[in-house]
Amino acid sequence: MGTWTAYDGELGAAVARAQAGDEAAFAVAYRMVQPGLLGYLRCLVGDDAEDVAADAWLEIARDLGRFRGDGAGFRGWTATIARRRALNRPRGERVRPRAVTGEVDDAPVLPGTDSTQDRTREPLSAAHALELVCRLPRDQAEAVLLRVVVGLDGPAAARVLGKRPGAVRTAAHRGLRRLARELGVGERAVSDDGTGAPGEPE
Amino acid sequence: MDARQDADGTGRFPVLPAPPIPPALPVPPERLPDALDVLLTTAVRAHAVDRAAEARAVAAYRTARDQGAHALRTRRRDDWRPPGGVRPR
Repeated sequence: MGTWTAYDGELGAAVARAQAGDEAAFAVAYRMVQPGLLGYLRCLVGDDAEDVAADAWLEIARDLGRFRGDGAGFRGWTATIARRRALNRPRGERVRPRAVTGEVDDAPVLPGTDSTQDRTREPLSAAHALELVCRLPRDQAEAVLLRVVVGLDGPAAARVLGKRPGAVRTAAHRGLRRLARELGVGERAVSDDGTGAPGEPE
Repeated sequence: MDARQDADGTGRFPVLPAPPIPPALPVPPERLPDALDVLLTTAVRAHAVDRAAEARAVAAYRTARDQGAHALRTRRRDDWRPPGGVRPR
């Protein structure tokens, strides 16, 4: 994860400065971490993501001095706080998670590496990709999001989820395999009969 | 407000990095569209920065700092130091 390494170096430095009292550094850390948290939370709590994130940041701001770790550790710590907030909401507020809200820009097609994508399927957009992930079984969606969107390594993702690394690895594997199948990549690619029908759900 | 954007002295606004390919992916990368993680982080970045939300978080930080909250002890759940001092990537 070469690019995450540079990013985490900058993040870790900002966190350390914030812990020493630098308010501007805290704002830097906020901007670096918030997009990933929101992306993760949207799949957990849908439109409540901003409210849950706001509550999480109150806790993060208050407990900042307790944190020990580097930039990657900070992303794991904040994801854990955000997840706990999401799961501890009153039962009546829990809604079926949705990936996207109206304001997400449906980004133009990115070139696929597999030509089967062109033949029978709609162009794949950013919003659609996130939607597919969020429709996975929750353990698979969380494993994929924490690895890809929040950018955690295996052990950190397992710690956020409170599971064994092997279980998280399996969930991520199943989720990615299912996504690959839905996106027409791999041994069970969509057939070329023009229906565009996805494979059977697991 | 603008001063915060120059917090690290370079004037750069911190943004997400180009999405990396996680080295420990259980599915071989060639079985997944290269665009998948690009798409996911693009979707994540598509939402505008909420300045008001940021201001509230910074205000909470300022309050906690000024009240001495940042001198509290580290609990087990707050310790995210990499084991052995070197983070495997």
